[in-house]
Amino acid sequence: MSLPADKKRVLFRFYLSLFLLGLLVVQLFQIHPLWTAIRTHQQTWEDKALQLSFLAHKLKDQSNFSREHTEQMAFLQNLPNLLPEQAKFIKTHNILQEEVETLRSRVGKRMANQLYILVDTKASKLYLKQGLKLIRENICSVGRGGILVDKQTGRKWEFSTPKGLFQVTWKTEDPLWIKPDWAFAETKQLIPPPDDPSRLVQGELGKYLLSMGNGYLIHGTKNEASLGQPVSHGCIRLGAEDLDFIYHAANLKTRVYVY
Amino acid sequence: MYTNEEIQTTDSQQTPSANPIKTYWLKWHDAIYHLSQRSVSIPEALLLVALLWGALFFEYSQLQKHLQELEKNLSNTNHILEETATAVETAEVINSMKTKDIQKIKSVLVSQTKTQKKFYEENLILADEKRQLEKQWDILITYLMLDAETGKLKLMKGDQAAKNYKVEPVQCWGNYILENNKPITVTSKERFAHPERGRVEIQEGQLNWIPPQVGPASRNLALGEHVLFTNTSLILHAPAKDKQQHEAYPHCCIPMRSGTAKQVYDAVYVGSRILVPNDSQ
Repeated sequence: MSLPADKKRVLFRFYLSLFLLGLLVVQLFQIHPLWTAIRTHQQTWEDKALQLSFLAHKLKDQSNFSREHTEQMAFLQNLPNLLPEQAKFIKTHNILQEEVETLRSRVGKRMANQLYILVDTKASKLYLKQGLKLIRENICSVGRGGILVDKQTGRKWEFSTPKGLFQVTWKTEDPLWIKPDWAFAETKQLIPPPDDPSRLVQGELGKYLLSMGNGYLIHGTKNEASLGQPVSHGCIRLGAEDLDFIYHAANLKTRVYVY
Repeated sequence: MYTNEEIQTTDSQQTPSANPIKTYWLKWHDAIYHLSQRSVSIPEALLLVALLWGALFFEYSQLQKHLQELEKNLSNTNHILEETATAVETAEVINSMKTKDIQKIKSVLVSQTKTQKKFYEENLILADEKRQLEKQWDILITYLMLDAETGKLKLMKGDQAAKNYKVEPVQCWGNYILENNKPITVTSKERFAHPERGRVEIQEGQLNWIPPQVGPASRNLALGEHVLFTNTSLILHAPAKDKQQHEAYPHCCIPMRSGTAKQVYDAVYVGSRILVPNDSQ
């Protein structure tokens, strides 16, 4: 059936409106991807900004490292100026070497391959040498120096180890110490007669004894902690182990140089 | 527009068994018609649509502009990011090179210091050995020589006279004479020494050193303060504090002043030889 005219008009208006609405919808559909693209770009831009911030921190760190390196480099390059010159060390070394060689030649000729003992009273050291070769180095104690005065009699004793060339004149084991007068005077005791038993002391001089003549002895000590210090009354004291070695190595007439 | 008759007719004709699609289509048209009775003219509608469309278009163009800007910013950011990444990489490379340089300098310094330490320690050892050898050599070459003609006691170091001391000719006491054939060697140096000497004795199968026990008497009256004993009857000593004791003690000596005796005492070693001409007495 055909539609009336006004109805046609209405329908026309409707479909026109629909068409126009369709255009609007199309426009909306065009806008939507833009929004999506904008959102995507913004997200991407934010990510890039984060990366940039991270890289900026890294660059700052590297810049700090670089500054520290520069400072360290400057310090290290300046260090050789603070250290002693190597050339001076070498020069001194060469001079010393030369002088020592001359001395070795002179002394070596005299000593040949002899076994002998050297006592350094300043350093409190005792060396056993054969020719120029060092066999053993020990710590010892030498005379403390100083003078003891017995106020009662006015007698005096000096407690220093004399310097010079000695020889081992005799050796003994488990030596007996016969106390001299100064040992009593030192402790302000009455000095007994020569044969008095109170003068006889066993164990005071250690396990072994080597005599260098005239009362100068190499012997042991009860107080090994004092070795290295000048504490004796003129004799040369050694620790038990060192004394054992020296006693068995040295013979009679072995020379002893004390300086 | 359908009349009520037509509608009724239509309605009456619409039985449940009639075409439902057509029915709804007609109802749809009726609804449109009713809606169309509302007073909105076409120009007004068109205007409304145009406004809406215009707004949407405007928004579209703005969004496009914004998008373009964003793309531009993103491109710039990418560019900056690339540059920064390059700068960071360069800085890392430079720092790595600097670190290597520093390590190299440190190892050179360590090596240099070790070398210097080695030289220093060697120098110490050499200095110690030099001192030892010098002292030993000094002991070996030191001796005394009495020049009777000039009345001088010479301190010799090898073949050179290091010092001269004024002394008097050799004197002997208690019928002692100076042995001519025996080489004279200093055997002991003592301060405040008494003529009585210690001795070695065998007691109960054991060698013992018996120190000199001289009683309460002062010991240094006979021989003075500084005394050098030898392996012969010769004794070098300072002036005696008691002449009688001195002269009563059998020995030979070279008289010298107290100061000279001290100097000789300090300069001479135990073991040093003393050369005395045969005709010096």
